[in-house]
Amino acid sequence: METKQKIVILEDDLALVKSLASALGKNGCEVFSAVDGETGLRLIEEKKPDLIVLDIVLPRKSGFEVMEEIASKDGLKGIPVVVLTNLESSHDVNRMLELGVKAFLVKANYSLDEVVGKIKETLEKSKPVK
Amino acid sequence: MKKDGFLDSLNIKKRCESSGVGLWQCPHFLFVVMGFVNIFAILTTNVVARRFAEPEIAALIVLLVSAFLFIIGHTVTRSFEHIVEASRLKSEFVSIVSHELRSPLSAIKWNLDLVNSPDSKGSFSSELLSSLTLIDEENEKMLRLVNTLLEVSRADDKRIDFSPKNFSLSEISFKAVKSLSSFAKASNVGIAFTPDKDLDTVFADPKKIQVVIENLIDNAVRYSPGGSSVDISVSAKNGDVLWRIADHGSGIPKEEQASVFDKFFRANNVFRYRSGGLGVGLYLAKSFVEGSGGRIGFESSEGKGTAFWFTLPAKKAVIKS
Repeated sequence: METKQKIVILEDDLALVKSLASALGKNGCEVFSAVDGETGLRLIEEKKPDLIVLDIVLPRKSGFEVMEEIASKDGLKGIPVVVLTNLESSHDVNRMLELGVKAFLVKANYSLDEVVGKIKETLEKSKPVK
Repeated sequence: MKKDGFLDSLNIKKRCESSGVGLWQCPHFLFVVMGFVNIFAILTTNVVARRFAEPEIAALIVLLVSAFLFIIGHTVTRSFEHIVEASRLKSEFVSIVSHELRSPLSAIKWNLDLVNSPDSKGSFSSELLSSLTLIDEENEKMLRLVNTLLEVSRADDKRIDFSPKNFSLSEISFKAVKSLSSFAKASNVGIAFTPDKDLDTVFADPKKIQVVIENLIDNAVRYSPGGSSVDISVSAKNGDVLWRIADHGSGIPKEEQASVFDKFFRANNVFRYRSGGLGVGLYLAKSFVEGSGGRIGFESSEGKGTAFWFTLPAKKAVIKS
């Protein structure tokens, strides 16, 4: 049997985390979450997930700072990141895309199904060739 | 300070841009202008005073006049500064509130999605299900309102993001007509649409233009008497594409025509209490159309009806490299 794919969610809104984690769990993923950027980075280092879901406005370390660290560390660089936020200015979007995120989703514009779909699609695309 | 301000005039331009007002409404710029007026007035006073009085008295008059002008200028620009700052804070407030409101609204939406998913739905009574559907719809409505407010605050600061491309104006119009057809039916108003299939490709942001068209149709239907119809047409005009909607409603009173595109405008006639919504539809429509390089306007005569129109630049040729 294939091992479950690990996903780390960095998001400070617990109601959002609960719904997303539950939906991803139903889709056969193992989900870990943190409510601030610092704890989140430690969690990422520890779990080495297959995908990271990242909010931008986060306590202690913002999504931008977290993304910069991910992009600069050898062990973490390759992990695909999906940004999930309510910011949507082209400035924020471009800055994140330059840092190498795979998808930029605006929470208010997507249903839960669509978000899960995007995450699975990103996982599928970045599967290592064995 | 005036000298610094003059040498640093580029910086003043930047400061004025950041406060989001025009040059002649910008306190920093006006302060510099006041300075020049001051110098000019003093020189004139000096010449005039020397002609009629002793040099000491002339000097005193010059000093007094210059102090007076300086104080007046300072007071006026200071109070201007306060107003500009207050307006900037207000639109920042709208933007922050809208962002903060979107988080819980998204959380509610996603948890409802979870509850409404096929595998948990089966265990609910039909009463619970219909309540859930209502909650979902109302939540969506709230999200739309907050999104509209956000667009308004962006339009205020001229920060709207456009992603323009070539698209068919008729196709978008059909979509808009379709999404409003049940509202039109409920209001007993017919919608007639005359497309021009050959000459209707425009270069603009289709999402924004769809909002413009929906707002204009919604308004036309809302202000039409039952049993009448609204007529939509698309046609070419001087190299641009013209979109037009005419209703047979009661028209917009002459004295109010100037403020139709203002934010939160409501006509002051019988319809004042008949329309819900934020009153920002036409304000946004103007921002979107003008931001796309088009023009928007209307003709209205009381008792006969109103026709709103906008133009958009025709399609851009694709340059192959």
